[in-house]
Amino acid sequence: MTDQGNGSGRDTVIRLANRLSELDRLHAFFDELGGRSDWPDKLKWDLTLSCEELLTNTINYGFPRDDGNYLITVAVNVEPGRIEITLEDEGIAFNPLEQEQPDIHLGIEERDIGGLGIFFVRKLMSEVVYERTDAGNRIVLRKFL
Amino acid sequence: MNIVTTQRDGATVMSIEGRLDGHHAQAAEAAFIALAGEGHTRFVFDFENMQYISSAGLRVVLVAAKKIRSLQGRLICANMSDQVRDVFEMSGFLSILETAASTEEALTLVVS
Repeated sequence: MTDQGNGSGRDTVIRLANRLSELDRLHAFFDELGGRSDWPDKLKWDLTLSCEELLTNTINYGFPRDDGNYLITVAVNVEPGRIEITLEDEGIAFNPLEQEQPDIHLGIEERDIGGLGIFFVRKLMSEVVYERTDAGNRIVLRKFL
Repeated sequence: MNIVTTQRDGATVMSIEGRLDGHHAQAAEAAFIALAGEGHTRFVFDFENMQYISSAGLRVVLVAAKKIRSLQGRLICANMSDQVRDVFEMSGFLSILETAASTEEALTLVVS
């Protein structure tokens, strides 16, 4: 974890490799940042969950050629009244906002898990912005407090 | 994540401790599949020491629920914290899964 400056309005950044075991580092990152920022448990949980859902998707599906190591950057910017998280990867184009939403009213037999992670992100965050960049994908999450 | 399995009163209690997330979901699913493969059909999933769950973890619970249904067994999810319950609630899973406030209550339900 690196701080680019200190104080409000600066980014706290972590770079993760495209492996699921890196999610352990994501949790440690938010535990540390949440403790330092005095976030309520619920807020820390919602931010961690939203990032984990997106990262799990990217790690599982973003690099289908499986041809090496890539870094995914998570940058958290805290200002009074809002938290902004930017996730950037070099994976294949994937706009989570275009994914079909799950039907959460189906029974056990019919129920499928697809799309649930992105559904959580949309539900928990105030804003979700997707941008296809030259290098890959950028997703900006904003939570207004 | 750590999984502690206890055979008790004719049921299999799987205590899933720590984080059931994208990293650990596969191990949890494998543990369940192995137990079901041994012939167990009545399960209590004990979430008392679960710190965190995401959709990858919910997927494991759904896989288990479908499997147990096909075996005509029973699954009860017990001891959810408020935050774990929130995730189940958001997903609509609370209306398709059986839950209990304690392991004791779950054990009574699961063999009834």
